[in-house]
Amino acid sequence: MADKLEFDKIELGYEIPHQSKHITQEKINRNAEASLDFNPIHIDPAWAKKVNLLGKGTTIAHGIMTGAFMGKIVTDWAYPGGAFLKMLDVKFIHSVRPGDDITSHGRVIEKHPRPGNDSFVVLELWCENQDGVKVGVGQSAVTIPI
Amino acid sequence: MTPETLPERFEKDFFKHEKQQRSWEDLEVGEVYDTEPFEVTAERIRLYAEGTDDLNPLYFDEEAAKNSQFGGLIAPPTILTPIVFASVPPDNWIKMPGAINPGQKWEFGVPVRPGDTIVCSATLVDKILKRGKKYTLAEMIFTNQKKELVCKWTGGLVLQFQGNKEMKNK
Repeated sequence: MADKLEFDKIELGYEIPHQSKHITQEKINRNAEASLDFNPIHIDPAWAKKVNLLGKGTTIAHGIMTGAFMGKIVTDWAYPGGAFLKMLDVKFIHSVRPGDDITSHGRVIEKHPRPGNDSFVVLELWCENQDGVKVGVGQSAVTIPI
Repeated sequence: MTPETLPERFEKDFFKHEKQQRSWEDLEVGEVYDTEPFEVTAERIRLYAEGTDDLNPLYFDEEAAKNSQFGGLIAPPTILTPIVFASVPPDNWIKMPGAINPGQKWEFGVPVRPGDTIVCSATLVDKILKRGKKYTLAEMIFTNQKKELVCKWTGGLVLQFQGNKEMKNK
């Protein structure tokens, strides 16, 4: 078991470990089954080509799959340390397509000392593709009990 | 544990109800959606964790989960996604072919656990015209069988095609 996170020892600016994912149509299809989101925009390449969605003519990955990847770097840090995910707020600012490699990052930007077990930190999150273009940005809050 | 049962009206083919979709213009702020409760099985948790490449032991390993801050198995936080898609009717705008996801916010309460029955109360809280695009914004409150708050989810979609003349040929 990892060491327990201690609110007092977490420094502003601390970067949690980043993680990368390679996106394929197969992975998008698997996420469609997992999330019950079968929107053709994600799983129907012929239709995506026909409607020329966003001018690129390919399917796009589920935004929430990117959001889940961004959340995963937070829970992979928080859960083994005895902490709780309080909030996840993500914006998808650039589409993610099959073939993309995306990397999620997070950094502690706020500390909120509270009585009892309610102290929490806020992290800024961002996710970039292989060209360094931000595809997702957001924030997350993590409650760190004493 | 019993196998998963999806609501009878659930439909994988989102085109089937496309014609019944209402346009953005016809949606009314304040409208409440007819949702069905959803029982979260261990199988759904595994599928979702695999689908999002998130194989945290807290989702599968009873021993590890028992000794954690959660005291037992939990589901990944964004498991609420399949719960919404299972709960809402097949012609809800959440399933509009071509709708784009601009972002979502989840404020979490107690975690979802295997065997929980989750009720989703969904209300359209805003419609926004921004940069030539038509956005919806919903608030979804999720509670479990003990009436505990699981999550408040605020988010919507960009409705690209239906009823959007200016978007149709783009």
